Amino acid sequence: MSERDRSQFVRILHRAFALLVALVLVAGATLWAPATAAPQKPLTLAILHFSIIKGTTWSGAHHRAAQRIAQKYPNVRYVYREEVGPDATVPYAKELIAQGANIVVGNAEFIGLPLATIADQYPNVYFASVIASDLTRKRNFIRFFPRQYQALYLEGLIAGALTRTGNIGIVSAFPNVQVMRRQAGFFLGVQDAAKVLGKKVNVYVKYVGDWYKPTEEREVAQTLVSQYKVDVITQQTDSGSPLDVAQERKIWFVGKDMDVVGFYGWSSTDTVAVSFDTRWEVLYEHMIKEYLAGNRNPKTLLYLGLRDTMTLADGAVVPTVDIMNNNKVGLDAISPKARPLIPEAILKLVAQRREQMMKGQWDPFFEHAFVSNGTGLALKDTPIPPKGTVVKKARQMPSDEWLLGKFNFDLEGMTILK
Amino acid sequence: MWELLVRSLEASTIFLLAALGELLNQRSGILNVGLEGLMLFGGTLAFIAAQTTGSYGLGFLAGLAIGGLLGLAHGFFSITMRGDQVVSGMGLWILSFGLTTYIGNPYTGPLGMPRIPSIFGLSPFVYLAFALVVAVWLLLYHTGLGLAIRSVGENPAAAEASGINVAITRYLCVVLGGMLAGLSGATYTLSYNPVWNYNFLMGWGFVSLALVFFSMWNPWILLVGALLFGMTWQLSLSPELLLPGILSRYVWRAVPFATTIVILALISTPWFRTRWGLAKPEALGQPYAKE
Repeated sequence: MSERDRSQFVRILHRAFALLVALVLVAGATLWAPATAAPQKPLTLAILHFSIIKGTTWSGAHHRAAQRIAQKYPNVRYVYREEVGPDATVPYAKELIAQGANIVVGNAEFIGLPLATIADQYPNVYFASVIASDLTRKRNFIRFFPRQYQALYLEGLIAGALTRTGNIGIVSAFPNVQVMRRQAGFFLGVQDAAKVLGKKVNVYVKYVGDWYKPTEEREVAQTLVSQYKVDVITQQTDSGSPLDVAQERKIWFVGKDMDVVGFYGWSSTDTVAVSFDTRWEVLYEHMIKEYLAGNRNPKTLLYLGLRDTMTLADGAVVPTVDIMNNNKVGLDAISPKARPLIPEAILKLVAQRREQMMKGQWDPFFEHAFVSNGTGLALKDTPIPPKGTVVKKARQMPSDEWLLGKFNFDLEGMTILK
Repeated sequence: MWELLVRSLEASTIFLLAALGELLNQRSGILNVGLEGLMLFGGTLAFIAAQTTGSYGLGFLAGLAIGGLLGLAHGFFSITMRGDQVVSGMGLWILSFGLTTYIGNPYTGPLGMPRIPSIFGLSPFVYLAFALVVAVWLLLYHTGLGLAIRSVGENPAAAEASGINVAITRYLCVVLGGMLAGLSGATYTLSYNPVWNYNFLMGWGFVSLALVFFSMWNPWILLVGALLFGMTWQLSLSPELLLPGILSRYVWRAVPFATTIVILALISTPWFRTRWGLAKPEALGQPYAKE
């Protein structure tokens, strides 16, 4: 081979090598691209809120959840309708689907259930509804709820330790599965605190007849304070009246659904001993991931709790529910004024149980037996168990279906005021 | 037990203030079924004004002003335009239901101001309401203006012929009545339950409206009705305190309304009406056109 031929051969070899490198780079970029740069499929999350959003702890929390989802996922668009009645569910849902909604949610059972009637008409849409006690599901009709009882158990520990009169009051809505399950979580916490501290604590429940009755809620709260000497009060209703009574009568308030001190500024930690916050976004994220993955058979019963988390756009990791007060979580959620009043043993127990629940190693509904108080709500095929009946033994976990649909009695030891 | 009585009296005060205003309206021949709307507006604007300025005085002024203004609006449709009073009243109620929810939402939650001090354990508005019963009674039955009001409510044509300006008399009543309804709402949100919630009254305005019919347009019977309703309503919430174990709470919740029906039936009898000289204003709800 002449010198010229050799140099030509080397040039060809260089070109071939350069071509090879270029090919490798292009192939690598092609393989790498879907994971980093390719735009994700757009998705529209539509929420039908049964009430107004502003100033409410239920719809307010759902709205915040959807906004957090949209912040984290730029490809997700959030649309909503407020004050949706059951008669408006289907027309609104159809309208939103026509506008591109892929997941349509009813944030209360009474407005969410009608979605089941159109689920078959829109096989590519996920429909979802909060559960009150009905568990109707379809391939693309998802039912969901957070394990709020876990946070309520922690609140119960704190409330049980805080009471000096030995009387705690619950301003409650009306007997229903959701309320009785949540009250049970709180009551078990109170009982555990009482046991640790060797004292007797009464839990009084008084119903006002509905979720939202501002005047009646105030009157019932006043009665609980003046007649039943409660010095810690909580609510299973939706107005701010019980909180105001707590402020007026200078007793402790234990909040629900949302951190109303940190989020709404309705009160201060001088009154709110602790509250809990619900992050519906953890449940929504679960649905969104399944939808984006193209799963035509999503999980249709979601019951997520402290161990299920979501990483928000700002990097914060939030569990589905957690004790929270004035934007602080865990033990820091306990009011600085209340904390010195709580014995160290209870503080340790709160921290321990919270951590165990976050790891999925412990659950109050697994640990404790369910003994019926003989009061509650007779369901169509489930009568109220007679007083003293051990419905579930200790160290057994009831099924999600049972907890969500059949827990129809109060626990023994609660005082239900007629 | 004293506290239960106090709470009953304070609840009665809300009914009484609004119903006194409506009684004045109806005595002049104007029916305002939108009473609840006026109360909602009065309560909402009073709450916003008080929380924004930190002044109870300005809060109550706002409540009185919006009540009077809405009363005037109802008067314009009913007196000047001679429109259907029920339609105008319902319109006011629907408007207020939506609008107060919209403007009040950012203020949801407790008022966060020191409480208005009580006088001998009772809210000052209880005394004010009692005083207003006396004042309305004196006005209606012991003054020339009262005679004029009753005249235009019974027979506006005859009243006009005797030199009474029907329109001005009626306007005066609807504005005064509106102010009392606004005051009732303000008393609710600033004193009785100082927390703003959407649709916070949930029917109390309609109870007040019913109480006017119950009273046979007499301020003293109105007082009795308001006290009775306030007390039975309070008792129905906590029956276990007075009558433990007797009837379910759901039955007790119906007691205030059942009592109202029984008494209404009783006082509607010809014997009762004749004995006490009670009757519905003859021209109630009818537009008047000057001949």
